[in-house]
Amino acid sequence: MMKQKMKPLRIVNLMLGVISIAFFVFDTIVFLRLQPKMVAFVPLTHYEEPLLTWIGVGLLILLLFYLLSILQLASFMKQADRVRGSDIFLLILGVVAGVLVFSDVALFSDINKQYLAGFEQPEWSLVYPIMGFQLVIVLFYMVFHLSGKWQRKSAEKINRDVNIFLMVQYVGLVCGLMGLSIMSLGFFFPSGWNLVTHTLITGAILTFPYILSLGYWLVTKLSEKDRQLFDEKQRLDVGKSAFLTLIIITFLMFGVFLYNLGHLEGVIRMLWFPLYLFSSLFIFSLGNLFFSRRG
Amino acid sequence: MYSIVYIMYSKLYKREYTLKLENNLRKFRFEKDEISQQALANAVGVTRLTIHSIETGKFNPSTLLALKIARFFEVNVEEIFYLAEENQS
Repeated sequence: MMKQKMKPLRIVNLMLGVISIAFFVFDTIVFLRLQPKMVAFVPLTHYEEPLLTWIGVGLLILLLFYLLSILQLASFMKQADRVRGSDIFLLILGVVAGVLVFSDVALFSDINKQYLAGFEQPEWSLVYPIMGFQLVIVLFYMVFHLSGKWQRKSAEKINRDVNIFLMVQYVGLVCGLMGLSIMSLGFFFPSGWNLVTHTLITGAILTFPYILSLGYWLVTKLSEKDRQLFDEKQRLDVGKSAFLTLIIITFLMFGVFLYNLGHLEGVIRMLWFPLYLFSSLFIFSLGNLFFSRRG
Repeated sequence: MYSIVYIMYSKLYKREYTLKLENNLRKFRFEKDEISQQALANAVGVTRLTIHSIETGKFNPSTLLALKIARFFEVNVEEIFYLAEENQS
């Protein structure tokens, strides 16, 4: 049996994965030590305060691990005979886990601020489930990195990519759905909604995976011989999908406008654009997938 | 007389309306060393999904693409693509 040569990206991912797992252990020990003190408003020692900085470093490494693992999965999918459901599922989990790194940062920042201000820190209850989910994804990804499954490539040459195009649509679907779900919370908690934190920063974080995957697709297209973005069927599918998006979004935004007619100065002034953006992203990606798969 | 003309017109109209483009692409692919959809897609500059969609009759190729495919198999375009009535398989 021929032994597979390890590629640099796989080696980097394996190293980052091991460091990430080590940081999960470190974080758990630190949190188990700090949580009782912070909840009881006991001052932290000089040795304990810098630990929070190290948690931040661990989160950065974790984010890098997710990004590079997704990149490796994407390049594996690009060469695959077809896009498999299991690969899409792993990709979506990775995107969600990566986005949750930003929510970790927000959670730890809120906990620290509330501790310093002398307020309760109910966010502690969210820290462990989120970290547990992220650890499971790291372990899943490590299994694939160790097995070398994402390194195997199809023997057949591919001149025009289709798998990355489909992958971008799946990422768009997930980002659109997550964005819609989170932005809809604004209608339920209008008084606590903040323009900068919730609309701008959360919106930017949720569109980040889509922009990255779109960038990867563009680079793939530019590296192709003819440098055309779509072939004739894709152009037709994208056109149909764009038309469908226009029709549905027009009705949807009209409905949102009517629903908020009496209080247009309320929370809707902070939500209309993200609602429009994430609905478009969701419907457009769904339409592209539907028309691509149908034909 | 008017009825007969009307029936004939309806039949003709209906027949014209239900014509659809079909193809022997799969057959040609297998006859030419059983080349894969990907290999054909590479040769004519489209994606594998587009070839798959043409074979399953879900997508009608442009004239340019049909001619490229015919040139690849070194046959006339009518040998691969032809018109058939909707209910015909």
